[in-house]
Amino acid sequence: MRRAAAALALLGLLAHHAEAAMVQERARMVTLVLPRPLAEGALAWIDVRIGRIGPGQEISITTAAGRDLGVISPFGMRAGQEAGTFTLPVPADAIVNGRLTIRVALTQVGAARAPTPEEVRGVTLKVAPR
Amino acid sequence: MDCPHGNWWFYVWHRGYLGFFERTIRALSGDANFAIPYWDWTELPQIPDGMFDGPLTPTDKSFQPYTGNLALFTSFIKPALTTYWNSLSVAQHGQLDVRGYKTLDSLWNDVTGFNPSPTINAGISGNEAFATTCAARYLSRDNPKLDAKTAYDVSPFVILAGLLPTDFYNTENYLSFTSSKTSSHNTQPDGSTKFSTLEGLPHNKVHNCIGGVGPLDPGPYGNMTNFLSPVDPIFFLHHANMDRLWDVWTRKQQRLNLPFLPQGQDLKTFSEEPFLFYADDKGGYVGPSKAGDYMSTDVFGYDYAPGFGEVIVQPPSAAVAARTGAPAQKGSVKANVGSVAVPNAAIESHLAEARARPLLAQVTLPRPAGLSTTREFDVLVNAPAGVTEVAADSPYYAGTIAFFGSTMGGMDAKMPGMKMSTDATFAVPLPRKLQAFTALSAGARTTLNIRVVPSAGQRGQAPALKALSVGPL
Repeated sequence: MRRAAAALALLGLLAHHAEAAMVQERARMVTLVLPRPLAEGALAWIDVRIGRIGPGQEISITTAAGRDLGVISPFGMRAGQEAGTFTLPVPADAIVNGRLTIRVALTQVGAARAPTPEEVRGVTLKVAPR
Repeated sequence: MDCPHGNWWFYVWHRGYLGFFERTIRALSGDANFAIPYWDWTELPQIPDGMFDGPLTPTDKSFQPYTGNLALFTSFIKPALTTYWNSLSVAQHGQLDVRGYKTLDSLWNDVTGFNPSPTINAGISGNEAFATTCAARYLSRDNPKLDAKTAYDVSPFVILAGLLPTDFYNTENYLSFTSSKTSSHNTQPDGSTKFSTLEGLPHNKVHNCIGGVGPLDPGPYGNMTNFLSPVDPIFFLHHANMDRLWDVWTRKQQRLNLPFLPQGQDLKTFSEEPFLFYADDKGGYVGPSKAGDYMSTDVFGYDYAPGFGEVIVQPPSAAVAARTGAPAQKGSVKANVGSVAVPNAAIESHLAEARARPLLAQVTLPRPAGLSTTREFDVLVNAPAGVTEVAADSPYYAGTIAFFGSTMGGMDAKMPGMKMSTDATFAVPLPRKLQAFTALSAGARTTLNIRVVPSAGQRGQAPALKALSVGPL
C-alpha cells in the first residue's frame, strides 16, 4: 500500500510536563512517527483533516520549535461545511530520529488555541514512494 | 457563481475564465495586444505596486457609486442579476442546483452573509461576500506585503513540493497535482474534499491574506476572501500565476515523458464536463463548451515568461544536480549581529539555478516577552550599521518573520518559575537581489552579516539574535 500512515496522537501526550501544558493552551502537540526512514532527497507530507471551523479561522502547523510548516486557510466553500483534507510538505531536516512533533493551532486575529477534535479531525504523516 | 474549488477542474475552469476575460478587456480597451500579467508571489511576496493605482484596487473611489454600501450595491447589481438568473437555461440551473443555488435568494444570501436556517436566521459578517469600498482590500500601498504565514505558503519549498506530483489526479493528496475528483465541477468542497498542495496552501492563503482573514474579526472581509473575489483585479494576476504553475507542471511532465492529463476513462470524464457560463468579448455566451477545450494554452494563444518553478522543467540530471548543495553553514553572533561565511559556489548556484534549492537563512530568536507588542521583524543582510528600517525593495531586505499568539510574559505571571521553551527558529529564503550577492568576496567565501530589526511601522527593540545558519533548502 502506497500510503504510509504514521502515529496519530491528538491527545495531550505531554500533559504531565508543565511546559507542554502551557503550550497546549494555545496549540495541540502531535507526535508523528515515520513508518520508514526517508530516502535521500525524499519529502514527507502531512495530511491534515479539518472539520467545521468558523469564518476567519485558520489552522497553523509548526514544528515544536516554531518552524512554519504551513497555514491552512479554507477558501471557496459554503458556510457550515467541513473544510476537507490539506497536504503540507515537510522538510526532511524537520524530522529528528524518525519523529516529528508538530504544534497544531487554531488561529484567529492574533489569538491561538488548541483545536477541538471536531475542528482538526486527524493528522497523518506520509512518505512518498520511491 | 460557477467557479470550482477543491476539485480537479480547478485549473482548467480558471484558464477559460481568464482567457475570455482577457479577450473582453481587449475588446473594451481597443488594445488587441493586452495580456493579463501574472503575479509571481514566490519571487515578489507583496502586491505589485501598480495594482494600487486607480481602479486596479477595489478601494478606489471609482468603485464608490457601486460598492459604497450594501444598499447601493444591491440597487446596482440585483436587478441585472435577477434578469440574468431568469434567462438561464435548464442545464445552467441544473449546475447551480448542484452548487446549492436553487433560487436567486440562495445565491444572494452568499452576498449578504444571511443564513436562513431556522436555528440561525441571521447574518454572519464573516460569510458576507459583499465588501464596502473602503474595506474591499486589506493590503494597501503602505502595507503591501503578504504576512509571514502567507509568505511561507508561497515559499520556494512549498511551491516546488506542490509541483512534484507526477499524477494529474491521485487519491493520495501528496501524489496528486489536482484536488479531488468529483461528479461535477460545481460540487462544493466539504469534509471529503482533498486539496492539492498548490490549491490548498498558496492559492487559498493568498486569497484570504489579501481579503484580511487573520487581522480582521469577525469580518466582513475584503473581496478576495469570498466568492466576489474577481471584483478585485488582483484576482486575475493571482490566478494567472496558478495557471502558469499548471503550465510549468505540464512541461515538467512532458520533459519526463509522463502523462500530463488524466488517463483512459478519466480523460473522457474530465474533458466532457460542460462549462456553461463563460461569456465572450461581446457579452454573449461562449456556447457549448467543455473542459477539454481549455486543457492547453493554445486555445487562447499565449505562453508565459519564465517565473519561479521553471527549474523543475529542466532535464532530470539538471534538477538532481541542483539538489546537491553544500550543507548549511553555521554562523556566530556578536553584538547582536550574526555572521556566517557562505561558500561562493553555493551563492553562485543560488543565483544561477533559478533557486532550485534556494539559500535559506535560519534565524533563531526569543519569543516576545513581557509587555512587548512587537511581533514582526525584518531580516537584514549586510545592511550598513545605521540602517534600522527598510522597504521591501531594499537591497538589504531578506524577508519578514512574525510571531503569533500571546507573549511569554503573561504566561510567566500565571505560572511563576515555570521553564518554557522561549526560542523559535525561522527559515527565510534569501532573495537573489540582495546587494550582498552582487559582488562576491575574493576567495572561496563571502561573509553575510545578518541583523533582525522591528518591521517597518512596528516599535520596539531588535530582539536578541540567538543563532543563525545559511544553507540550501
